[in-house]
Order: sequence, then structure tokens, then C-alpha cells
Amino acid sequence: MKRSSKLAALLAISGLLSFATVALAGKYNKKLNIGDPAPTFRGLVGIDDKTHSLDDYRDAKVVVICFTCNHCPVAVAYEDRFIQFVKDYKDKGVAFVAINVNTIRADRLDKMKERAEKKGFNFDYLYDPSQKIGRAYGATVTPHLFVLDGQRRIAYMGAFDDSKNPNRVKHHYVKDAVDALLAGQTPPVTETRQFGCSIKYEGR
Amino acid sequence: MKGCRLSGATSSHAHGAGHPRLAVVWGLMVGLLAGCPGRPVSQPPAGEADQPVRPAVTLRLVDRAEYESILKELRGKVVLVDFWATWCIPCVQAFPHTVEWAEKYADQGLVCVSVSFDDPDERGGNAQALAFLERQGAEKLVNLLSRFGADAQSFEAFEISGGGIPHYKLYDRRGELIGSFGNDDPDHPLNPEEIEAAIVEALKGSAGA
Repeated sequence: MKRSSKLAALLAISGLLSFATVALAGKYNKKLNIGDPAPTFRGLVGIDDKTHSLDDYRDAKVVVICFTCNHCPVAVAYEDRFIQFVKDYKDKGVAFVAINVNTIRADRLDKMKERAEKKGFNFDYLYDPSQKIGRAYGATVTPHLFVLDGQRRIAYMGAFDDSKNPNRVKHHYVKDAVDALLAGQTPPVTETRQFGCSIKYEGR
Repeated sequence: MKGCRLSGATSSHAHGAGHPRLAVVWGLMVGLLAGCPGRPVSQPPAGEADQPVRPAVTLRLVDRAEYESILKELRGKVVLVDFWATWCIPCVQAFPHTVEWAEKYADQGLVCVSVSFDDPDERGGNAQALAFLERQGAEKLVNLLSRFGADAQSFEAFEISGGGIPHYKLYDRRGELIGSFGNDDPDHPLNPEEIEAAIVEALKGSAGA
């Protein structure tokens, strides 16, 4: 009884919300569209046990935000590409920030530290068990990427590239978007269908 | 090729089963199961009373076009498709619902189809997915494996809206897509009760079959 009334309320609320945001949402994103100001975050704890804010990266020309996690084989398939991306772009004024909002045991902060240590992550990896930042970005899967321009507007969102298998990649969406922004241009592709493991949001 | 052996076993009981409608459905299901060349497709199941032999689960490799032609063969049925993978924790957790619905609403005209996004091996199968389906007792489902596995093309080809699985699609008896259910909105997580309600609603519509 209680459950169904809660469900009804949830449906009503989400109905209203989706009505309010539908005109603003992207093709594959219920919350954000290209050109929207990037939602900010503050006080997210990282694998370094320090807290991080979007503003920490204020000097970067471009910020790449990557929603990822430990347990997802699609996300895991991309880890080496993220590491290589950071090597290639950190000296060009590009910041890469990974955020996990999954709260299952395999994805919690201690496991994030283990994973980062094992793989040698060369980027900040932040944990948001409140999941607020994931909701604000409309992040649905891991990995799900957002490229923020100099004004911290959403310039690209979606997949990192077009294949889980690095040997089959034809389109390097994130790199192409970042290269375009660094050259003062608009990304050639601004939105793609992200793919991977659904982020598990707690019901509310 | 367990599937071939078992469907062969059923054919000895073939003719004169008392359930023509069931026979048609069964024939359709058997016809959909890949890899049994030359097997007649219109055989009813084994005499269900005396020999409750559980047919084996088979997995058929499909792309979007093959998926569409399977859906076409299921016209007259309400069809629920469950897109899932063994690597997807919420998919594995939710899968029993699909098996339950396939059973519960079969006589009202529901057929459940599963499409796995596990990576196909060189023979076009996936042992882990098959083992999972067997453990789940998914023999009443039409079980498919996406040719593109866990890669972007699967999500693109099957238009998985939020790019994540589990994802469900519901088709009415005319084969029209009448609902998609997924995790594309963080404020509206996937809800099995909602899917079941939509199934019940769809089954009410024109009892055709």
C-alpha cells in the first residue's frame, strides 16, 4: 500500500520533471543539452582522500568528465584509453576527471582506490555516493563522457569513441571534440549514444 | 547441440496433441531456435502429463533485421523483449521477472524474448549466457544473442535509449512498439511493476491471436 502510493507520487513527480525538462534535454540525455552550463560539484572525495570541486580545474581550457565505475566490463575496456588520453592531453591544458556514483560494494571508494592503484590511473577519480552529480548530468551508464568548453558549457556528451574494442574504433568522439575546442572550433559531433552498464540510482 | 537432440525427442509424441493453439506456438518457438537444420517446425511438445521433459534452452545469434523477422513471426502475440547481459548486474537481478511473466501470461498471449548483449564467441554462441538462461529456466522464452555483443553497435541497432541495459521493449499483437522501459532517466529508475502493468494493459487489447 505504502509502496504503491510512494510509486504514484514518484511517477507524478517524475512526470512533472520530465515535462519541465523535455524541451531542454539532448537526444540521449534527459537532463542536459549541448550548450547548457555544466553542473558544478563541490566537496567530492577522491581516491586521494582529498575533496575536489569543478572549480579546482578552473585553469584548464577543456575539462572532460567521465562517469565510470569499477565493476562494469565496458568501463574497464576503456581504462587504458583514458590513461592514454590523459598522457596525450594533460600538457595541452585538458583536465580529465573520473567520477563514480555507483554505490554497490564493488564500486565503493575502497574498491576505487584498489582499481586505480592496480591500473595506475593518472587522473582524479572521485566518489559521489549521494549520486547528485550523476543525476545533474543525466549520466545513465558507465562510461558516459562530457566535454566542457572554456566557459564550462557542455560541448560534447556521449561515448568516448565508437567501439568497446580498441582495434575497431573508427570515430574518436571525445578526442575530436577536445581537438576542436583547443583549436577554437565547435566539435564535429556533439552528441552520441553512450553505452555501457546502467548506473544504479537509488529510488526516491 | 542439446537443443536439436531434445526437440528431436519431442517429435516422437508429435501428432494428434489436443492443443492446436499450443502446437502452433510451440512450432513457432521451435522454428525460431537456430541450429537444428531440417527439423520440422510444426511439432507439438512432448505429452506434458506423462513426460515433463524440460526442453533445452538455445541461443540464436541475431542482428536487427533478424530480430525484426522473428518479431514478425510472433504477430498476434504481445511480445516483451528483455535486453540483458551476464555482465550486467541489474539485468541478472531483474531477469526472473521476465521468466515469471512468460509463464504467468502465456495463456493470455504473451511471448517473452531475451536479447543478450554478451560478446558472441567464434561460433556465434555464448556459454555464460546460455548457462544463465538454463539456470533461470528460460526455455519458454525466445532467446537471442546480439551479433555485436557488448559493443556500441548493439545499443545503436536496438535503439537502447539511455545506452544502458536492462532495457525492455513491449510490442502489441500487431507488432507495434508500444513501450520502452530503461534507465535513461536518473529520476525515473526502471520499475518492474510498471512493465508488468503495461503487459497486462497490452494483453487486454484485441484478444486476436
